[in-house]
Amino acid sequence: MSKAQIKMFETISVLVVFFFILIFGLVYYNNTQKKEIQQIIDENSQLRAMETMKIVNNLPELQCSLENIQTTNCFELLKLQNLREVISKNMLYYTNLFSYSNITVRQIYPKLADPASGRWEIYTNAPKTASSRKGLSLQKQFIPILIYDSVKRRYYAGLLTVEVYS
Amino acid sequence: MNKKSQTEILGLAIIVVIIIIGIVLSLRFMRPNQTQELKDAFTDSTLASNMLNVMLKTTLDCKDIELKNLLQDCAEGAQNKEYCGPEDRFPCEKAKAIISLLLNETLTKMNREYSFEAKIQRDVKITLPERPTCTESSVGTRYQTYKFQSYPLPTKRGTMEITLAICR
Repeated sequence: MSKAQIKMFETISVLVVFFFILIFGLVYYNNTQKKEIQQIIDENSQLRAMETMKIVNNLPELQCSLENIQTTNCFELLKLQNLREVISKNMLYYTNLFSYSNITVRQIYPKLADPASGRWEIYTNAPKTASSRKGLSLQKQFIPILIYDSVKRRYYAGLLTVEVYS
Repeated sequence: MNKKSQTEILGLAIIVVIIIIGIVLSLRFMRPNQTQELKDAFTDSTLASNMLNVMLKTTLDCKDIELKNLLQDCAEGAQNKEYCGPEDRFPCEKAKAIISLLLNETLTKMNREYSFEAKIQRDVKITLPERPTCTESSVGTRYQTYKFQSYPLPTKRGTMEITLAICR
């Protein structure tokens, strides 16, 4: 009888160890998968931010041009000052382009006495309802750009910031 | 007896197989993400290039010349040119001040490590920061990647090489 009990005990302990290893493996796998999925989500939002930045950088509504030749990485000051109004009148079109994001241009050199005068919030569209904001993160991308003042014929250094909600 | 030992060996073999599967799966998840590395390298390279283009084309606040003209004067050793008042008299000092401001407002605020150098015929005119940690030799120890862009600027004394490197 006791021999049978020992055998039973042996079998049960093997099963316990086996299930312990199995559960440990599943938990470990689950955690690793969560991290990988989060990494993929972050990567995708970064790519979306970069894509939005590329679109803004190539907008004819902002680009510097001389005799129909565009200068890369350059925004015209007069266009920059008026773009927000243009976007607000054509919100549907620009929402399709930029989705939920904030796009800002800031002049960094020369330094201005009033920093607010050298900051242009071109596009602002954050998710409005609380339920749609839950679990959202913000991906930021920066790129240095030139701001061309066509009146004074001078180039200023600026920074284009794109924040994408994901 | 034989069947008993065979059963025991089979049990052991199953445990070993499970452990091997576990090790293989862990190795798969521990593999570095090559796509992310390539993307970061491309981003740093593009950022350095854009930064240099913006820097060199920027007009001075007090004079109607571009920063690249200022660097040309610096390379040519023009000590007698005044730039924007007595405290910014010499072109190299003025150029260094402007470049430092631009880099602080952009790369430093982005928490990016960088090194900037403007030299002509081994004569280093401007280095930023003063003691750069972002160098080619720091890859593998302090940083994983070192991406740089160079811009050759023609001057009367020869070609001035302007380099901006970004480390990650």
